[in-house]
Amino acid sequence: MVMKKFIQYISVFLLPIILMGFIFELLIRRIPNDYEYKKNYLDHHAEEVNTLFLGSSHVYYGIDPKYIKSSFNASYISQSFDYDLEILRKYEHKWKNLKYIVIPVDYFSFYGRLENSPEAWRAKNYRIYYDINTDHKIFNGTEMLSNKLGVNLSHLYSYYLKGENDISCSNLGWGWSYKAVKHKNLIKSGTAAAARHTAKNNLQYAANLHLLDEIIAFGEQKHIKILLFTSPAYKSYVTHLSKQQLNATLSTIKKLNSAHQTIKYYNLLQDSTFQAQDFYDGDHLNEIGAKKLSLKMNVLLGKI
Amino acid sequence: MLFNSFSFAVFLPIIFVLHWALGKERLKAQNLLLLAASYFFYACWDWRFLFLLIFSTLLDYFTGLKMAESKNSKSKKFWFWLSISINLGFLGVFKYYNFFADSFAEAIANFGLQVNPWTLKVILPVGISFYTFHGLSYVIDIYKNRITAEKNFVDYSLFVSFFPLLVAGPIERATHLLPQIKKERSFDYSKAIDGLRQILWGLFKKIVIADQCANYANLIFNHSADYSGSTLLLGAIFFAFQIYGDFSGYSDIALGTARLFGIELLRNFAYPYFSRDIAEFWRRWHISLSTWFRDYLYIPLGGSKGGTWIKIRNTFIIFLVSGFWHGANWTFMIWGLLNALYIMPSIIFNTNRSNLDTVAQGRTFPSLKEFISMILTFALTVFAWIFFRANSVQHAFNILSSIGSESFFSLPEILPVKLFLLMALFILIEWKGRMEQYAISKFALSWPKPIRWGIYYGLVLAIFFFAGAEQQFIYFQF
Repeated sequence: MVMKKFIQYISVFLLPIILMGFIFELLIRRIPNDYEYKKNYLDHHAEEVNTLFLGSSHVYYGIDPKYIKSSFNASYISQSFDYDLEILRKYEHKWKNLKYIVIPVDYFSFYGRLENSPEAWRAKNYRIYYDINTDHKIFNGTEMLSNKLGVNLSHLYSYYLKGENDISCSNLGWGWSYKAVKHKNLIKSGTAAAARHTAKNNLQYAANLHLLDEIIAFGEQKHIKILLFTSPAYKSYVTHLSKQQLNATLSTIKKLNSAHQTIKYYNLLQDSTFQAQDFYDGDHLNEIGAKKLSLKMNVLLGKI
Repeated sequence: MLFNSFSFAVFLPIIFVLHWALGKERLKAQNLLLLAASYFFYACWDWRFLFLLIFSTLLDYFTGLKMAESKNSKSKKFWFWLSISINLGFLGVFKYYNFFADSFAEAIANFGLQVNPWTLKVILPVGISFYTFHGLSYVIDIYKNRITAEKNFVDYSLFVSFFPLLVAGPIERATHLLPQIKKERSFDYSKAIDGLRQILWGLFKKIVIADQCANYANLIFNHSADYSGSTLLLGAIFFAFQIYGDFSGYSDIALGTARLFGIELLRNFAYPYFSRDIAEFWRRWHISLSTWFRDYLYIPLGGSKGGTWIKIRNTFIIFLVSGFWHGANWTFMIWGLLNALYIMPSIIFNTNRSNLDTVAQGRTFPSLKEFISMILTFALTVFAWIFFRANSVQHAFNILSSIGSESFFSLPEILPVKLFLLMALFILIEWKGRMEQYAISKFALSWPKPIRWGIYYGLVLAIFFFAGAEQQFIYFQF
C-alpha cells in the first residue's frame, strides 16, 4: 500500500517531465538536418552515383561533387571508417553504377572512432536519421538525452519560430559553411587541431585498419575502385604532427597500396597547390580550396 | 555506469522494484539481488576487474573466518598479516608501482646514472582504494576483537560491494553497515522520498555546479601560462567548487540511493566550506576517510596520548598518507603536507576541538569573526587545492608564482557572470540548509505542494539544461 502510494507520487511527478521530453523529441526529429538529407538522397539516388565520397570533415568541407560528374559526398564531421563501411553496406544492392569510392586516410584516421571523440554525441544522428547503429548502446538514440536542454531548445526556437533549419550541405552533400571570409587564425587552429588529432595510444589502430581492409574488400568484390588520399592541411597543422603517428599511418597506406590493385593512394598533405587563402582553418579547406581539391580529384579519378 | 547517466536512471528503478517486490520476508533473496546488481554495476566499467573485486572479497572473508577460528595469537596474526599484505600489495601494484619506479629512476638520475624503469601499463581498477579500505577495516576490527567474523558470504560481499558506495565510498565500517544488511528491511515511504530528494540535490551539485565549474577550472589550469594571476586564482576557486560539488554530489546520490533500499550509509560531507578552522574542515570533508585514518592509523600510532610531539608526528603521518591515498603523485603529498601544517597551530595549542558546533547555529547570519574565519579557512583550502589539481609540483609553483605577480591585480580574463550567479545561489541554499544532512533536506517542506514541486521541477530543469556528455566523477580515479 505504501509502495503503491510511493509509485503514484513518483509517477505523477515524472509524468510532465516525460511527456515534455517526448514532445520535444518528436519536434526535434521533424527538423530537417544533414544526416536525414544525405540518407534521403542515397535512398532515392544511390543507383545513379558513379563516385562516392566518404570520410570526415576534411572531405565534407573539402570536396564539392558539382565538379565531378555523378558523384555524391556522403562524408560528415568526424565520420570514421566504421560509419563509412556501414553506409556502403546499407546501400549494397543499390550501387548499380558506383565506379569509385574516395576515402581520406588522414593523420588521425587509424587512431580514433566517432564514439571516442569529442563529437561522440553525433553517433545518435546515424541511429536516428540513417538507421545505422555501430555502437549498439541501448540509450544512445535520442535527441533529448544526447544534447543539453539549452541546445535542444535553441534548435526548436530556430526552426519553429524563426524558420531556420539545420541543413548546412549542398544538394550533393558538400558542407558549404566554411567560408573564406569567416576564416579562423590558421596558426592557432592548426596547432590546436594537430594536438587534438595526436593520439594518446594506438589501441584502435588494428581495429580501424581491419575496417579499412573490409572497405577495400567490399570494393574488390563489387569491382569498385578505391582512391585513398591524405587531405591537404596548412603548415601550422603539418609541423605540429607527431612524426611517429604520421609515419605509421603513411607506411600502413603504402603497404595497402602495394597489396591491392584496386586502390590508388595520393598524399596531398603538403600539396603546394593549396595556399593560406584556400584554408578555413589549419586543417579544413574553405570554398576556394574545396573547388581546387574537387577539380584535382576529378583529374586523379580519371587517372585510375 | 555513472550515477549521472541514463543507464543508471533505468537500472535503479528496476533494482528498486525487484528488491521491494521480493518482500521483507525474503531478506536473503533481497541481499542476493543487491549483490548481483552491484556486480553488474561494477562490470559495466570493466568486467575484468570484477574478478579482482571478488578475489579481494574472498580474501578478506576467508582470512576473517580463519582469524576467528584461530586458537592462538600466532595463527591469528598470520591470517591478519596475510590479508593486510595482499590487500596493500594489490593497491601497491595497481596504484603506486609506476610512481615508485619513475621516482626511483629520477632519484638515480640525480647521481648521474640512467635507468629505464620497467613501468607497468595497468589501468587503475575503479574504486580499488575504497573497497580495499572496506576490507582492511573489516580484518582489523576482527583482529582487534571489535567484531566477529561474518559467516554469510553474500552478506559480507554486499558489505564490500553495495553498488551505491562501491566506486567512491563513503568508506563504510562493518559495525555500521553489516547489521543493516542482516536486518529485515521494510519499505519506508518518507525515507524513500527523502532519498530521492537527496539524489536530486546530488545531481544538481554534480551537473549544475561541479561540471560547469570544471569547464572553467580545466580551461584555466590546462592553459595556466596564458592567464593572469587573478584568473588563476579564480581557476583555483572554480576547482574548489568543482571538487566539492562533484564529490559531495556523488556522496548525496550514494546516500539517497542506499536509502531507497532502506540502508543508511555514513555521512561523507557536512558543509566543509562553512568551517571556521582547518580542524573543523577535516571533520566536515570526506568524513568517512578522515575517520578511517583516525581509527585505523592515528589512534594505533598513539593518537593524542603521547604528548605534543607524538601528536605532531601522528598528524603529519595521517595527512601524508591521506595525500598518498589520493594518488601516486607528489602534488597529492604536498597537498597532504600543507593540510598538516595548517592544522598544526590547533594541535599545538589544543584548539582543534573548539568549533564542534555548526557555524551561526540558530542565527541567520554569522558574526564578523565567524565570517572572517570561514573566509580564511576557505582561502587556505583553495591554496592547497592548487597542488591537488596541478599536473605537477612545478606546474603548481608556476601558478602560485603568477598569482603572486603584478597580474594578480588585473581584472580576470574570464568572468562567467551566469556561473557566479549559480554559485551564489548554491552557497545561499547550502547556508540555509547547513543544519541538515543535506541542503534541501527540509527546504520548503512546510510550503504548499505546488511551490515545493515547482522548486523540484526547477532543479530538474537546471540539471537537464546543463547536462551534456556524461562527466566522470573526480574521485573515481582514486
